[in-house]
Amino acid sequence: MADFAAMQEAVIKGNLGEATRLTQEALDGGTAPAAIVNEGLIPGMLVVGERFKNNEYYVPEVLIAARAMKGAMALVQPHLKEGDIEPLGTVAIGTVQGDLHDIGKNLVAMMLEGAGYKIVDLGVDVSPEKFIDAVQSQGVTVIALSALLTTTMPSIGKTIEALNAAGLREKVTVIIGGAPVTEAYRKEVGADAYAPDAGSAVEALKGLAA
Amino acid sequence: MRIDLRERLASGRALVVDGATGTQLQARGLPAGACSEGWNLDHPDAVRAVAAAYAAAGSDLVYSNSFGGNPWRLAHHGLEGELAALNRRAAELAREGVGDDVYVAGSMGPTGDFLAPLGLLEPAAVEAAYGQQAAALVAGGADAIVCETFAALDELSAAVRGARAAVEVPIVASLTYGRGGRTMMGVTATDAVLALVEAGAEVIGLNCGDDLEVVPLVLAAYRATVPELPVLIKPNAGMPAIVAGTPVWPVAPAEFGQLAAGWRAAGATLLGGCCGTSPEHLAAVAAAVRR
Repeated sequence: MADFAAMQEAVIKGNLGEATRLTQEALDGGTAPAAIVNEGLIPGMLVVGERFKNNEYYVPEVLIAARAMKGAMALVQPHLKEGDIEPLGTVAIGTVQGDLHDIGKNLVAMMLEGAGYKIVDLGVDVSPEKFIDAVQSQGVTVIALSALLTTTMPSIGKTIEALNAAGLREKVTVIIGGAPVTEAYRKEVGADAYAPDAGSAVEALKGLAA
Repeated sequence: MRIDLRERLASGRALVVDGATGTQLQARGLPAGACSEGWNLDHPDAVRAVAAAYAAAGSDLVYSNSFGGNPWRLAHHGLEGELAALNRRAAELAREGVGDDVYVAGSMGPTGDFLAPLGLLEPAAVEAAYGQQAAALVAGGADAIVCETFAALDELSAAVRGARAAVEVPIVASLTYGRGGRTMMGVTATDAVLALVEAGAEVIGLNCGDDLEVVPLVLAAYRATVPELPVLIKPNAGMPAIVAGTPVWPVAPAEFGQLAAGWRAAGATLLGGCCGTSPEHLAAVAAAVRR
């Protein structure tokens, strides 16, 4: 029986060596790869998100936890068979046009990936056209838009308008965030969800799905 | 003519700093998302005019338009080869805008990336780059170097050490605090001030940030930890609301002036504003702290 609690703890503590060792042991011992992900790694990352939301963790702790999770996932991946794990959704994420600040966007991507979403990272300064292209060509179900500056935040609204104009708005869930973004702004631009921090992004998306 | 900045700092007299630069440039036509440092070469009149507006409002010390003038930020705009010219010009334009009675501080912002082992940037390379930026700013006439809006202590310490090795002028180290009174990277005011004095900072500061509630807490921690060190307080005018697509900051000039008087009474020496503050805000600060 794999020690899922210890695996979770290794992710929570950002202990890459311990996370990979426990994962390899579990694989060698015949534990189902999907169980390692669903009962060991993902619950650990969810705790990390929770602690970040509560100001118990800051950016460094999240980065090292994500690194531990990624290292363990790399071991599991080759053993996963088609259909073993269905992603919760496919998220195209990026900072909006004109915005080059990607630390927050990267944290959200790590948290969503850690929770079981497939991530298509479009990077920084992403035009509405690139988001539309991702929806059309990559099976994207969620669009995640990030802006750090008040001056670039209007690009969030423009991206949503472009999705509307392309007739794709109903096909995707739109979640937005970034320092100046608020719930009031979400309503104004007609996004589906707003997350005040990376830890809340997972809950916000799951809340919509439920 | 201004007296030596160290002498002025030692006197303990209030020093009024400036307000936001980026929004002032945007009001003069800088497109959102464009490289504001590029305007030092392309639109020198606008850059000069912003500095002049703050001097006219009563600022004793004005920052250069060089916040993103490090190789990592400039590379986003393909301008990393222009580092020395852009920074030197930034300080020259501030000086031309304010004249000889007002101090010019060379502004240096973060890389936007993480240092090793958390990230890939090598501390020695970061230190060297900030040394180059500081040297160019001082060559352009800066009286001080201000490392501002940092969240990571390793990165800010590297910037201060790099500047310290390259130039003789006083160095200000300023961090942005958020929820829980820590920076995004979890740094406390107490840890910051101890490490930055060690690195060579002569002024410790707080700038930017949405939450004005943390200002008195950080100020008190700075004062209690290293009482003799001058403190800079330069926050945003609160958390902006978006009204019809335009950000509106909640703290008006008069109220910002009152807050500044409170920070002054609590021991801050350098007072200014960050995002959402205008020359009008700074005029109110000047009136309030010189009373």
